[in-house]
Amino acid sequence: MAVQPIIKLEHLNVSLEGNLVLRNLSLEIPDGACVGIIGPNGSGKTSLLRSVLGLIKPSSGRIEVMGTVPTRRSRRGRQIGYVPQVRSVDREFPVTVFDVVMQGRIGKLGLLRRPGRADRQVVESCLAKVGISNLAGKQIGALSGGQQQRAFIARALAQESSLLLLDEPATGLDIPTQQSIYELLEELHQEGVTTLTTTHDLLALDFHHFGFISCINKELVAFGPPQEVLTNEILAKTFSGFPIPLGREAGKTKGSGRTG
Amino acid sequence: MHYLFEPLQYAFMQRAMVGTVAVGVLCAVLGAFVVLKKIAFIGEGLAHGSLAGLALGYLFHADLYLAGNLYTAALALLIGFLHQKVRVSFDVAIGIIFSASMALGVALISSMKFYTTDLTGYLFGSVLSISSTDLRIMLVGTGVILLLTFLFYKELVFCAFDEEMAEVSGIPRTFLHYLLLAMIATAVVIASQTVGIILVTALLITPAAAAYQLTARLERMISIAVGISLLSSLSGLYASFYLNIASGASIALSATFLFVIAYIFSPKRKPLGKSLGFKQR
Repeated sequence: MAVQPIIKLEHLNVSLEGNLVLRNLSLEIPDGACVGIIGPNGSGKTSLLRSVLGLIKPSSGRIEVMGTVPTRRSRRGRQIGYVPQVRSVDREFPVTVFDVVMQGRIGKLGLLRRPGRADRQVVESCLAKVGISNLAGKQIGALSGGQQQRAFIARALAQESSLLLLDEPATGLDIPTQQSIYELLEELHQEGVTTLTTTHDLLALDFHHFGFISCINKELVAFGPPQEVLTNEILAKTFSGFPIPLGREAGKTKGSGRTG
Repeated sequence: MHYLFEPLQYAFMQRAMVGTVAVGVLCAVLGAFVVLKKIAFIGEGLAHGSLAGLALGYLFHADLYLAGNLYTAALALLIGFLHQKVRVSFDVAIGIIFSASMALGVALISSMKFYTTDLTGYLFGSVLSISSTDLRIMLVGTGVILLLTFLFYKELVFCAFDEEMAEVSGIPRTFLHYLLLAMIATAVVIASQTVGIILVTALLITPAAAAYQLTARLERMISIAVGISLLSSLSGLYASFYLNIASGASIALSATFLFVIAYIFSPKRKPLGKSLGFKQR
């Protein structure tokens, strides 16, 4: 079956403060795919996501997301769900978890409109999806790290996008929370949502949830189904030669990792 | 009761009352954003920087108030620009711009031949001498800023909480940042009428910071800040009338007093150390 790519990167070069962080990267993500992006720290995973969002301009090359070059205007019209890397939120900021998830609706709502009943329903169902409905009225700073991460995932879900980017969503969280994030990815895949999830932590990675794995280390090392990509050879190349212990579901066959 | 109503028979006191209420509401609302964005220095910086605007206005026989407003708004945008394009930290940008502008103001004033009472009014606040033209500009400015804040409320809160995510959602973050700066600049100049440019920060920061002690809900925080601001402005105004002290000083001192009360009765018991910038245990 011929599936239109939802993201198309052609010969992408991205520099940050004069340093090349992504080199000649070409990649096509099929619509509806559940993609894991793996690579060591500093390999350009976050820059890749931020380029797809249009937050950083590539120094050369072309990015197409859902058929258009991403800009602020396009982001407003066609939301891209995003869960940024875990960072400390301002614990004292006077907003509730419900308010935070409602932020996911603001872009869609437009400048002068207030959230209505439909928006509140979306927020409630997103809170339920990540299992924190009971925390809706709490101040965001009162939550634990794992609960905050769930709230930020719920906010991204509230954007109701067909494309969701998650930057190290499972890093630093306990196993049950990680597991529930992977289960959520699977659920989204069933609903036809394309997801890109980055991680540097191979031990925590549950490979069988992903339809595709993309290995990057400033450039694309490999892209394909997990069993083809997750070979010792490719992983060693991705992680600069270190012997890599694989996580729960390692690639079984020793297929030849094709670069895509 | 006699003491409350007696001053109101004077027209100047009525104008002062209306002006004080407008400024109190305006500063409390914007102050919430200033406190949440942790840019407390902006009020002080813009207030001091506005001196050059006033001096220029005086020099060219323009309306001091309008000149000050426009000049300070431009100053705020310049600070924002310096921060974003030259990539110095926000505080550093304020420091550079405000000291340069204040220096210009001092240079201009020192070269003027005549001592001007108008200018000292701006420095220390002279709410009792607001003219009806001043009051009209004040009310229009306050109305426009409150309306803009109301219209862009959810976006302003989103940006204050999480700039990156606001940008991802397609919110015009840069525009809103500059808009907020320009609004703060205008509010600072408006407030300088009542408290004087030296004490503007008292109205911009203290009521919002006091309210921050008392609640974890933003809407409630803004309402409480407005209440505290009005209480301190009006009590300061009466103190100014009866004790014959500069209105800026009496308003700032009442606001500070209310902050201390709020801290003592804070249900959250926010450690004072954190408010003062020390590390939390």
